[in-house]
Amino acid sequence: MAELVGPRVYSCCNCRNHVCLHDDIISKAFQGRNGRAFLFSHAMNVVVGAKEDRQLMTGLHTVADIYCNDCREVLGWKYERAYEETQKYKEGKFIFEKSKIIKENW
Amino acid sequence: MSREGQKLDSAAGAGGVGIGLLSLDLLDQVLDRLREPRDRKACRLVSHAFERAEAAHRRALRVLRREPLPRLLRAFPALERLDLSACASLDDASLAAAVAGAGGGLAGLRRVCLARASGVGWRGLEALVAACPKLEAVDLSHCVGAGDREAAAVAAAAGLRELRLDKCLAVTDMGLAKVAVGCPRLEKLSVKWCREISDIGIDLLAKKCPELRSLNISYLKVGNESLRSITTLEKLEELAMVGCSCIDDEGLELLSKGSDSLQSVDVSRCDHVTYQGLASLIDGRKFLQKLHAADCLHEIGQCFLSKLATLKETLTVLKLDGLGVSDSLLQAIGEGCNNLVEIGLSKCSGVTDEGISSLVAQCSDLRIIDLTCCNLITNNALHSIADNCKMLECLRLESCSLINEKGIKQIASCCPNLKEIDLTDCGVNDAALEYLAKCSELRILKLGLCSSISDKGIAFISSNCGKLVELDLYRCNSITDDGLAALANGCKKIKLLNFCYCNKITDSGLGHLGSLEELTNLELRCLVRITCIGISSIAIGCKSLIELDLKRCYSVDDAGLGALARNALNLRQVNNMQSLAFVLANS
Repeated sequence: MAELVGPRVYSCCNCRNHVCLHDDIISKAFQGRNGRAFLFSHAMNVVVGAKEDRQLMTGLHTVADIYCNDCREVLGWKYERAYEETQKYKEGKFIFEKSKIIKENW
Repeated sequence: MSREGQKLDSAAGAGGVGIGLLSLDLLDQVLDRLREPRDRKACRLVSHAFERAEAAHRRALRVLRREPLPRLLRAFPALERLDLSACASLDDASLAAAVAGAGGGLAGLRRVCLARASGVGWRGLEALVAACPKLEAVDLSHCVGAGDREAAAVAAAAGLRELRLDKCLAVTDMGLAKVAVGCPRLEKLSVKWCREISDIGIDLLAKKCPELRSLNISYLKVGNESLRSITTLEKLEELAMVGCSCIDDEGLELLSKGSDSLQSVDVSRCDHVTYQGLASLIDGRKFLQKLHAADCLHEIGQCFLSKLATLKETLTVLKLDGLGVSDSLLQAIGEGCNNLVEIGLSKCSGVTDEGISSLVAQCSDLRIIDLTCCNLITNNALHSIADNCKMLECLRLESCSLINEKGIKQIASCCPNLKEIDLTDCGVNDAALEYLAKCSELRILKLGLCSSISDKGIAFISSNCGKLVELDLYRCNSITDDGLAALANGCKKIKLLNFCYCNKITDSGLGHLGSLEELTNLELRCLVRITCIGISSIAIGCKSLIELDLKRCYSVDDAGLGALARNALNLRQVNNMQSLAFVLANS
């Protein structure tokens, strides 16, 4: 395994603000608005928007869009509430769309 | 040695008939024509004479364990290339001792690879350099503890032409200075990630090594002053400055005043570079072939496009990942650079069918097209590509979810040279694989997240794509053991396989994989039905296995890992949350 210079960071595609870490990835098999998305346990330097109820592929959820705090680009969303037992594990976690984040230093 | 081997040997001694008659230099000629390392190794087992001939003939050696190192260096006196990157627990003392014990055997050694050999330090390097007067190339990448003393040791190789110090984190300007002064004939140097190096080090390097052709200063904190120094290098052809955030347009303008030798420039992820800086850089360059500007530009203006057009004759590679584009921009690029062989538009927003059509209409020489995450693309774009780019070799379409088997049909029919295609997350089905099977040159096929793929599709591919080297079926959960049987039958050259989360696979499927002798990387995360029986088949049969990922294979217990430890002699990395310690103790 390569020893890296610091943690593997993802950045906002627009302004290169650091927003999440590769080590926080929980799953790579999610669908975002425009394609593939990853589920992260943590996010940084993002602003969480207003909550809204959305019918996603896996059922009804309360989500809030997340924006890069520098450039306000929508990068994904945060799961606030899930209404089915099997989906509860997502609460409090973040979806970042693959097309909106780029590998920063690796 | 076998009885046959003994017979041949005595026949040779008695002046008898057959192979035993061949003299050493005739055997040398025979060995010259054997391409596969495995065949040459098999030759050694024939007779003593063959073994002597092969030992005298061998030019390259890759050592896996440090104990036999002294004996090996003595046994192969004609070595030119030595790869110690996979030599477990190699340290200074062993290396120095082995070198001392080799006698004059290392006199012809030209290239040494010590990548990731973190136990090697300046003592071992000094011994090596002293014993190898013809040393031309040293690779120390990822030796994260290597610092200035190690650089000084390498600097004693006066004839050195190529040096890789990627991620040698402790190397500073001092170490770089020693190398610059000690190796004036240096042609290729990489100091990527050596973040202690500053403009001062680069300045001295440029003054002392005028022969430099290729330089990699990626991720360093160097600024425009380094570019001013680099300008004096008259023979520089390749310059990589990925992630250099202290470099900006002013620096690129300084660089443009240099000699006209530049052929390849990489400014990816330099966040203070804009299209204007790039425009001034490429102004008047007569030989620029490759321009990598991924993830750094936000927009492109007319001045850049007009300068780009001056590169029409020579530009073959253009990477603009992450840029927001438009149809008119793609058309302008197509018109300006119609000799393009590779175009990178990964994660570019605004890529549409029309834009692609106008681009490929002008660039019929395109062989590599990267449209990862260009999710507006439909089959129409694929039709345009198929109509225009008959030489297509590599097509990346990850997350282009609007395409389907109709577009793939066109590509497969019109592009017989297709070697690599990435359809991760595209939702393709077995019909698409039936069409793709026509591409008998296919080497790399990525089908991650395509849950409609079934064993039928795999059977199509295995029936005709005998050259397949890499297959990615991440989360293709309809695949069963029958698919693996077909694969093992038809794709004997496979090296990399990914079956993570294909949870219908059982031990019987892994049994089929046991016949794949060239398999090096196997990912089997979360295959809950496989047990140590399946792992044993892999361990015994897949003789070339280097990396194995077994995370969350809950039914695999210590016995399975024991089989691995005993049989998989090339294994370097096993990922398994439960029993890693057991494997390490035994290997």
